[in-house]
Amino acid sequence: MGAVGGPLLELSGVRAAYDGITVLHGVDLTVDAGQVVALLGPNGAGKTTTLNVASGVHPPSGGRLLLGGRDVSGARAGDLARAGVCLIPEGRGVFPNLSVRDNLWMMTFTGRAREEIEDAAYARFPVLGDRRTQAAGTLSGGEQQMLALARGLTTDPAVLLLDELSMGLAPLVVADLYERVADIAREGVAVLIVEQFAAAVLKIADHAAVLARGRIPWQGPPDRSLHAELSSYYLGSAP
Amino acid sequence: MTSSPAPRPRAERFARELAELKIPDPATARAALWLRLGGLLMAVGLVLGAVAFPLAHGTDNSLAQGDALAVGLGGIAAAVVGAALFLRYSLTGFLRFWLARQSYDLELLGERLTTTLPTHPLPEGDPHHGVPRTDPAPR
Repeated sequence: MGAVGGPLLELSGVRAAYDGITVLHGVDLTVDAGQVVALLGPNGAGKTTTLNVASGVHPPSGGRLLLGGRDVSGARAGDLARAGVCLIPEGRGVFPNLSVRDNLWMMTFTGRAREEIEDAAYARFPVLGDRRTQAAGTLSGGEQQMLALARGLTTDPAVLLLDELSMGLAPLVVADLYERVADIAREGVAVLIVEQFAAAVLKIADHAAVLARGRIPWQGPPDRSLHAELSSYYLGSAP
Repeated sequence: MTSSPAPRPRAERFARELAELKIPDPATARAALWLRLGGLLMAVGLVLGAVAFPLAHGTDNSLAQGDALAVGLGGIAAAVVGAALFLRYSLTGFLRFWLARQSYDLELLGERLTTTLPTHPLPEGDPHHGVPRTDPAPR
């Protein structure tokens, strides 16, 4: 049995490579149950790769991936998903030509009844209930993101991995979405959010880490010192 | 910030499920090696089968013919096993590619359809989601 009192998600010295080119050079990061951790960094820093390693989609070439205290490096993504790891990738991944309801019904493979899935989704995101017969591709960007979140939550995740939730959305919509993510974390879910635009996510984050060129040069509470660090890495003045 | 204390039951169940998870040894996942081995066995088997025929024909000695027959049968068996291995691992790769391609095509089709769909909610119970019916014309 894993160390339940410890972090739910732990990356320890994780390295990852594509075709022999190393993109992560020893990433150390932990996320506790009920905690929101923001992983920030410029384009090409390795943020999405970090999420892919954490979800088992991309195998690490070194280091360890620990979930619930157990080393699961090399485990299949499907097995980790069944255990409770949920990755919501960039671009939402909804089926645009299916209705909202059909998109939710796709999640009946989890063994839950259609009504149960719909009730849970509409209770958390009432706007989806109003649009249940509308094709998902005709929803606004924020509503599509809500649908992606609602679908992910039907898997009853213990670890939620979110990639660029704010992509292409208005600031007010992003703020609303992040409030909902904070609610999800309060239910005991460990949330790791990858973001390029820091302002919104830092309002709900308990902990933040800066990823630059495959390394985490800074991590800590999201306070003023983080803003100075971020500026230096985003603007390229950091070593 | 999410400051309220986190409930642990889900975390405990998560850790329990992960503890029971069987993680495959990466050393055993050698599909490429099996694919090459299958191809090699198939080629060697065919060569052995072809070589055994003139060997058996070129002698009157029944013992030598028996040896040649054994070589030929061994070659055929190796070719059958090699072909099975080769098909198993090459089909997996092909089907994976085919599924990815299908999913990409469906997404493209979906995008094309949604650009022509109305933006107002569809009526309840409409099985066609607003897409015009394409029933065959009456004869």
